[in-house]
Amino acid sequence: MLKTSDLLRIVVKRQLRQLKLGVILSISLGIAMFIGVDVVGKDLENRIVSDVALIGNVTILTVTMEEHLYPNTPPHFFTDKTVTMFKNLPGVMYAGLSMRFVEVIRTQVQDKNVYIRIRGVDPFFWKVYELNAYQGRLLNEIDEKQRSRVCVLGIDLARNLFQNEPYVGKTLTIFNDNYTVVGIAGGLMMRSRTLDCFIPLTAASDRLIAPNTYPNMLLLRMRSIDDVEPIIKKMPELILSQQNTPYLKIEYAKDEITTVRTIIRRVHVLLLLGIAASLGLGAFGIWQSSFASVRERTREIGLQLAMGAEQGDIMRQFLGEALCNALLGGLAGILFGIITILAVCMAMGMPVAWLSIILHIPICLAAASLVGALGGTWPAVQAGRMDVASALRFE
Amino acid sequence: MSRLRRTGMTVRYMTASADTAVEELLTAADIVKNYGSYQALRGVSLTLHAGRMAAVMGPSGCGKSTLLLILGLLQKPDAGTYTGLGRDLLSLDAREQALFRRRFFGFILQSCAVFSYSTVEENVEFPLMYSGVPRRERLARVMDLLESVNLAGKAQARSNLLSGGEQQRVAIARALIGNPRVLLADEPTGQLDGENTQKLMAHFRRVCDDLAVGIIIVTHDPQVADYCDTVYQLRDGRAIVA
Ligand SMILES: Nc1ncnc2c1ncn2[C@@H]1O[C@H](COP(=O)(O)OP(=O)(O)OP(=O)(O)O)[C@@H](O)[C@H]1O
Ligand SMILES: [Mg+2]
Repeated sequence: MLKTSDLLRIVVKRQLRQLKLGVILSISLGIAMFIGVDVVGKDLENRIVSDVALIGNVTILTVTMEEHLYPNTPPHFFTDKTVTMFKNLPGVMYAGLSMRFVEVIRTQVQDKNVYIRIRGVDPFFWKVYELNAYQGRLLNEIDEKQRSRVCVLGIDLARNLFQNEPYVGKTLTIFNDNYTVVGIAGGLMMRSRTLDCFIPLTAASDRLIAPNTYPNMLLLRMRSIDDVEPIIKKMPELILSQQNTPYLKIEYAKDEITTVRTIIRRVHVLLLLGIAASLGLGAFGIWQSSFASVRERTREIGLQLAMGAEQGDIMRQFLGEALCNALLGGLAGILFGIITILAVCMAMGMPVAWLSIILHIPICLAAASLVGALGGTWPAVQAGRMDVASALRFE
Repeated sequence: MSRLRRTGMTVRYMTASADTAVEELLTAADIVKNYGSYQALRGVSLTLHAGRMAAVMGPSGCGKSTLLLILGLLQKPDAGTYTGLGRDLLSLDAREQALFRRRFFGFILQSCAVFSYSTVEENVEFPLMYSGVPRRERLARVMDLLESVNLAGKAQARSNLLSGGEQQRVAIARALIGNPRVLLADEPTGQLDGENTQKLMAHFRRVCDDLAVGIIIVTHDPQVADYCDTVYQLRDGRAIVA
């Protein structure tokens, strides 16, 4: 029986001298995909899903006080304590406050009626809908605290109101108060809100007409789709633990959640199929090239057997060669994978999860060996079983 | 050859030459081999003594290679008896046969001279790996032997880049590295010109005389037969001593 150290030397030298690049490449592709998907996949998926989720509105839910539907019930609104409690829940990404109704006022710009929908919002409103300042800035905590008379406009409203840019710095009169335009809000989720005028919630409660100017609408942006339904179940209990509340209405995108879930599942299946396909291709490549080299070296096998090699020696040699190629592919794949991860992380501005990468290396090598063993075993067994006389006669 | 003597082979030379009677290495009797209905060998008998060289000649397809494979325990005959070094070789199982080959036989085969993608040194080292000789000793023995076949300078060369004659010398070195008692060579001079054939045969003769190795050479070259002590003509499936 050949000593393992000798076997390794023979196998590795030979494979390095006769590199099977095709096989190595296809395995490395599978391994690179595997490590890439497994290390950054979750982060990437979370990002993609959170975008998809945002578009589909599925991670946002609104809770509204509905006391006005019941006569003789005093107005209710969400307290700071309640909002803080929500902000500290693990599944909650952002919690913002707004008003159940908007005030609509009419003004005239050059013989044209312009309706202004006024909405009081707190500084977290923007985060919930992932809105940004298209021009100027958004409303912040200082505005909130100082109850400032400032406003942020949707772009369509700004165009209707003013002839020319810059809109920032212009003045808007609402109920005899002058509000300075500090910014124009933009973002995917603006939608019909491009016709809205946003003012600090505090300023709204000071100056707009009661009873609609309380923070009676809670906006929650959840971290993932899976966080939505559990919190809805617990909602009354959660709010009641902080404050008294008579009637609540919870709105969320139930059907969209199902759709987005399906999309995520399909993406998963696709990625898994990709990995499986390229690893399968690698195993097939190993199988093919092992058989090819058994055929190509039939006479050499005969000669080795003549020299006194045992069948097991021949088998181990060919299996070793398959594993060697698979591991070379694995190493190359790890390298490609890490490069890809670095590139993706850099492009997306994500931190590189080095620990996860290092933990994946042994898994990748094990997967590569498995591929090598899957593809290489049968050809190796065949090589070992070869009959010397016919091997030597093989043309 | 002086080098060869220093590598432990001299011991065997001494014992062999100390014997007055020449030791009988291989005795095959009435070997029959059929391929289906085709009778390749119909009762071949042959004896090989230590330090003797026997040629097996005959037209192409007469069964020379078949006979050599049977003698080398690489193929089973359908009938006949075969003893080697006092053992009934046909009763050994596959493992024991492998062990016997490793210990007592050296092969030079018709179809395959060298291992591809290997250096000369690795080629010659190969049989010693199967015998479990430590690497340091292996390399020393390989270098000694390569010197004796004038290939020491090419130890690190890729064997498939060598000329036909050089490859044949590698094959010889590889066949001799395990200190075999018997060398089985199938057309070792097939690829060589007249001058190289003579050099090779002279070399075989020295191995034979100095190391008391018994050699069987399959050939159809009369020039080769001239170097041999016995010449078997294989005809109609039987061997006749010429
Ligand atoms: N495995 C086999 N199956 C069927 N026939 C075979 C087999 N091996 C050899 N033969 C036949 O047996 C005969 C002897 O073959 P062998 O190779 O021993 O001839 P040889 O004397 O060595 O010829 P050459 O000088 O051309 O090498 C040939 O006719 C060959 O076709
Ligand atoms: Mg032949």
